[in-house]
Amino acid sequence: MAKTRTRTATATKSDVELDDNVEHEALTPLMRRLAREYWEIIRARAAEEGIPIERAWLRPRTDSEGFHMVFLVVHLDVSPKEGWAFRSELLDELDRQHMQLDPETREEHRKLMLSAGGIRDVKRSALARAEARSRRPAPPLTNVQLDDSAEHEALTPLMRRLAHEQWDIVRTCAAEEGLPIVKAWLSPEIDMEGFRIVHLVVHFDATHEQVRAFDRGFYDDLYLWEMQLDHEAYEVSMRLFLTATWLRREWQSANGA
Amino acid sequence: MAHDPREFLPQAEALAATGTETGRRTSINRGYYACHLDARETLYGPDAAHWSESPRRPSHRAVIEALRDDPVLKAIAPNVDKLRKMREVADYVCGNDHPEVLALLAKHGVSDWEGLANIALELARETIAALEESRPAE
Repeated sequence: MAKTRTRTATATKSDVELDDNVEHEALTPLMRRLAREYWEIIRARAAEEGIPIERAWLRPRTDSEGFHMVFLVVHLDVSPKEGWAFRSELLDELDRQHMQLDPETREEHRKLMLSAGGIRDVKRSALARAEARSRRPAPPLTNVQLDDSAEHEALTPLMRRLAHEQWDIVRTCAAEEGLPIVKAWLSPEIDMEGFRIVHLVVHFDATHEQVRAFDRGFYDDLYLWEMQLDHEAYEVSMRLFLTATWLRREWQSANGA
Repeated sequence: MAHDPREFLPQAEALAATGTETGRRTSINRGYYACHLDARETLYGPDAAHWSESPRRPSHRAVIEALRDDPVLKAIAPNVDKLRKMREVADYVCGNDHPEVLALLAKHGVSDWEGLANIALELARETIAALEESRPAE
């Protein structure tokens, strides 16, 4: 990977602290120590590269087979491509370190995953959307109601609350884009790894291209929404997905459907 | 020389074009794996770097969650999750009047495997293009 940034001799570490204030069985003392060591490497490297860190936190979880995993999530205040270049270099360095660990530590280290990305463009765009929204009258929202009548263990009270908040974002973005909503419902499942998943299914009377345009605004707004969630709500929100379905299809028109 | 998982996509297109239910179901499978593996490699390198010696590489769900954590790739995480569910049903549920098949058709607003395979191909193309766009130039 080509390194295009210039390292500065007067690097100062970010003031941002790793938010590891979360209790979970995956966060053993060894895992906490490894995550802290990861974080110090990231922080030092970011300082060397002049990359501002926006936020960093730990996201532990366990699958149905009892396999633990901890995500170290780092949001960098740079462009997505700069974020990915930084991440690639970091992974190379962390892999080199991994190979030098003793077998027990290495086994735990495998359960630590780095999620690092550049948030600058998304954040700017999301804040600009929020600003523009505050300056104009809100367009009328769809009359379609979200059908949340399904009963399922995935639909916990917290998941229902989050699904309704996400539905509010969907219908606001749809109104702004002028996209007609035909139908919306919650589709819960337990996936093959034992996680409780909910799809917020929304059928749009629109083409794939129109739904893609809607997606761009929706995911900017979703970023701001997710960033104000607490640890528990963020973790649950990871398993809530928007299934935005476009009903106008070129291949159906071509087939006369 | 490593295999490029994106090469599963033209195979998925060819399978869908066979016009058979078997071809369409298998097309969904290949479309999903093109996306899952391309996402995993984009996120964690060929064969997921230091997990390659482990029996537990990042799972299907872990890859989707890592996409979801990323501020930009967040937008394609639902695509991969939709393809995951389509793949599970296409591979494991044979009855076409099974509730899981009917629910999947309703969710995607189609009436048969042709429709599902077409939707899956569109989602897979979009996902692979977004992953390509996200990668820094070498």
